[in-house]
Amino acid sequence: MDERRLIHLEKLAGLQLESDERRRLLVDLAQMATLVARLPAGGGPLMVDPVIGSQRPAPQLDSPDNDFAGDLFLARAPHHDAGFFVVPAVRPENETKEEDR
Amino acid sequence: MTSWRYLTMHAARDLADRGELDLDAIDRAIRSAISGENPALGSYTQCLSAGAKPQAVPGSTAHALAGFGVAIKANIAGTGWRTDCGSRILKEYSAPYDATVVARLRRAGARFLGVTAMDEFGMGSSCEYSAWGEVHNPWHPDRTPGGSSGGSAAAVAAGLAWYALGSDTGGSVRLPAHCCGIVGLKPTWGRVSRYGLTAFASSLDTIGVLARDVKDAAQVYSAIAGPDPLDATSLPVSPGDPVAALTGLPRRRRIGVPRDFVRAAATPAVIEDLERVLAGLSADGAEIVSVDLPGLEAALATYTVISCAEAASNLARFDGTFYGARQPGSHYAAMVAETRSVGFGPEVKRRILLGTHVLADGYREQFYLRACRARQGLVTGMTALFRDIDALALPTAPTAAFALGSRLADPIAMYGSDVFTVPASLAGLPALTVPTGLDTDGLPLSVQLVGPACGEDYLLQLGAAVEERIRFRELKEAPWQRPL
Amino acid sequence: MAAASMSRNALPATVGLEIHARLLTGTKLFCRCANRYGDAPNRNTCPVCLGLPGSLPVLQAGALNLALRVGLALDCRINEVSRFDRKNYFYPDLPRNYQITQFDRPLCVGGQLNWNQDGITQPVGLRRIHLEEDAGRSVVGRGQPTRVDLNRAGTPLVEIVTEPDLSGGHPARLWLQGLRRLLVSLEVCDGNMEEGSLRCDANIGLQGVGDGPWTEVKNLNSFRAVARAVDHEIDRLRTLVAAGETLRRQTRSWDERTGATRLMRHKEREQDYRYFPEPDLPLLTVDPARLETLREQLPELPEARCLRLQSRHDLAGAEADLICQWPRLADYFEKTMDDLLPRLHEGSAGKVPAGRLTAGWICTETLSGMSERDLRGGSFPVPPVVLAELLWLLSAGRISRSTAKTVHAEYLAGTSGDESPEQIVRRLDLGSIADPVQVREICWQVLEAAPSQVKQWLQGKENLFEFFVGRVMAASSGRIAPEAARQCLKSLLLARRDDSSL
Repeated sequence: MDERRLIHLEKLAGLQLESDERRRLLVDLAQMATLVARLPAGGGPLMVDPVIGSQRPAPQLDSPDNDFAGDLFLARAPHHDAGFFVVPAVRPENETKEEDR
Repeated sequence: MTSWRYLTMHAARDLADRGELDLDAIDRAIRSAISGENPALGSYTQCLSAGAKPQAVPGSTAHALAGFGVAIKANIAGTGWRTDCGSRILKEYSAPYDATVVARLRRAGARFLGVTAMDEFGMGSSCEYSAWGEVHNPWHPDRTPGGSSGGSAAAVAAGLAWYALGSDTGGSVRLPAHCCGIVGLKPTWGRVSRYGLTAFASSLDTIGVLARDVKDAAQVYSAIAGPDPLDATSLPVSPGDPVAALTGLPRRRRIGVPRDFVRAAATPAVIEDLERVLAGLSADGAEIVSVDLPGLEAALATYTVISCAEAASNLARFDGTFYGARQPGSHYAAMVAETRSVGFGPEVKRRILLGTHVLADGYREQFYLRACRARQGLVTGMTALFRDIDALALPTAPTAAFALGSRLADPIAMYGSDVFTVPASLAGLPALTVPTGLDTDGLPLSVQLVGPACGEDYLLQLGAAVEERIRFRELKEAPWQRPL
Repeated sequence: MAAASMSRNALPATVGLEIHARLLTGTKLFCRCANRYGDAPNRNTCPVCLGLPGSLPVLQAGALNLALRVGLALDCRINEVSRFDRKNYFYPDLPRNYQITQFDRPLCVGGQLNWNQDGITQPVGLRRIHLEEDAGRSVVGRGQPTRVDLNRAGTPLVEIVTEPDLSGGHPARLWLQGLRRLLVSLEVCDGNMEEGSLRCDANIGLQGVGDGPWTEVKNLNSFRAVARAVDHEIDRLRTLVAAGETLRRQTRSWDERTGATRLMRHKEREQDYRYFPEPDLPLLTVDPARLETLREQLPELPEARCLRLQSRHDLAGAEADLICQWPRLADYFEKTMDDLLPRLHEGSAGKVPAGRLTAGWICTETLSGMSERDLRGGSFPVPPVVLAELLWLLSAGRISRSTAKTVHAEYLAGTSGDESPEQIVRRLDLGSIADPVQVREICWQVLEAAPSQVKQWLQGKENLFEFFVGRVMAASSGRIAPEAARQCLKSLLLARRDDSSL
């Protein structure tokens, strides 16, 4: 894990550290890496369903039911306008058309 | 009013039922005590006023809880308070709905005293990673109350709450219970609905109970546990009546102890205390056997990888778009990065970045998938073990409550506090912390009992037996023995 | 140049499609918010689809049933156990900044849907079908703040991925139209590309050139766009190869206006989605018994029904195709035929075979003025029994086509009461005039009223004949069969000619 890798991870994680934060974090992460290196190697079954693993049937209803006061929630949002949540513009290089996901 | 504040809830219930205790007056007195004592203790970050007298829904199983004040950890949603999870990024966030456990407590007639301090988003073992101030251990102000449910534990130990709800992902209910000398129960994963609990590591998060004794813990657990259509991972099993089961003692008590593992990590004082407790159990007819479980050594590393990976994903939603404390930005990505960088503390950032790393292309196989396999190995091992034993006994933590500030510079040492609690978390098994004694500095020690999946009743019975023998609550050094 | 174009044309294309279809469920995929298009922004939200802290997804079974229906109809292998995964990335309309989808273990694998044209059937294999939730809608404007509506966030989608078995724009279009018809007939999707209920991306490669597709083309909003974009992209790739250029894997966007694709991003800078199993949802298991029930409940698929109607009722391919677009319409056709056929056996058969007559009527008179919703819902104002009687009257020559239309209109307008078509015809006095005396009377009147045209016809202007026919049709409100009018007029005019030559 070096600075370049950490910067890449920050981008993926929606973070932006100050350079001294980053330096400290590299030290911490190196220590965590030694801890994590103690993971045993080797195969074995992959755990995909947490712990209990029982299958619970999906609810059979298909009728909408929702009395959530969405407009009250919207009213408390950091920025809203005419019923929409508002955020600063998505930049072109990050911009993806609706269908692009 | 002398010792009313330190009664167990069930004892107070008996007195109240006989007309010898006025629960309304006591509630007022507790709130007054909170405003007087909390500033120094730091257990509460929000103090709630009494509001209307709560009405228990008739037929609900917990007449036992009606009228008693509960402290709620700041990551459990409720419409009457701010659910800030100990983080600046959720500074003014108020949940527009109740967590299922909160709804169930309301139906049981509980009173809500306040919201407790916690390590930010549950990430921490000392409550020192809270955005708002420090929490002090009621036994000794320079010591940690444990984390991340430190505020909840401190409130119960200091007599500022009858009981509290916390969350336990890698030990965050059991460790504070251990540090504060009270009972902490982490139920089986899926026993208690997670709907309303801000997710840290979804496959590990469990809402737990901090209480004054085992019977109180059993009472609260029976009120909050049970299937929930709003949580697809909740087990379709009701808690039954664990309080009634407490009157008995399980006939067979074959208790496994991973001695090598314990000796490798715990201090001599902790080891000695554990052996003393085991000797007592043995004298009462239990069979103590040394057990070996290879996966235990790697459990902390396994836990770190999995919990950080899930946390990185669970915390991605906090970007100021729909709620929370937004920072300005010239464009969307800048707003997100600024909001999260300003809003999250250093420990949270550490874990998010590590979690991002272990899931990233090219690293996923050697970290995340390897950890999943290790977890499966541990689960298989534990399942096999529980065919042979009835419960596992080990310390809750390697040391007693450590000094505030002593591990801040050493995150690895901080993570080490969880070495004994993470195995039960990874396997989703129920675990109970029962206080057992004091170390030479006068700080509490405890034993951790781990049961098979859905083995809460057994654990609680066993825990009650330990409690009965040790009589920890009668220790004159306890905060609750000090004159008010 | 000739050599270059020869090598350009030589490379066959390998085209695969990736389709997202919004399922016609009442609720969203993981919460009970309404799955509805067109409501006021953020009207259909709740803690779950808003991704509020503490909220949890819970699978709603309606979506699972519809997805299984699709998998069964497309002959897929249904995985008894599949799994949801998280796809992690940041975007304003993704409330949790991850999408719950199926990555490693999808609901269905394999399967097939052919495309047909003019008797040629080509198989197109399917790779997989899975369930996932849709994101919300971002209104993005250059330099303007982005506005977010979460009504769509959490609505259920099936993603259908084909093998690269298509060879060009035309087959892609036909195949997609066939898929749409299937999805609509299964009642799992309304197939509305304009509203985004059906979205399509194309993956385009050239056979023998590299491994896998070179271009992913997005923003295909219509069948026409699919055909044009695919062909354009194939051509562009072939040109690059012929010129010896190195190809780079790209994501490109189709611009309908310019008729070209443009670069969105190079695939090397692909996002790292850090997929991992969704811990908030148990494994998705499909009970074999339920699967069998669903299989038994599958309706006759449109392709099979189309062929059956063609052979049984002697319909033209295009007509059968159109009728089978909507299962309810095909039901309507068959019910009408059930009533019509016995009547024709009793009385006289007309010149036009019953099947073609009915199909022709339905494809014109019935379809015009019916909305997509009416066709899906099967609300036909003219009951099959009534239509059958009407068509029988027409077939027997008892009424003219325009009379039939008038009667039909009475039913559409709701002014028919509970009268039968025959009763309406009588009430409106619209029965065919077949009585030769009456016919002659009317023809005579028409000629009397047009002396100058008669004179011109007598002088040789033969094409005025149709003018007289028209006048007779108008005067009789279309109740005289055109053939009868012609015969009568002819005899009257010939008689006048004879008279004048005397």
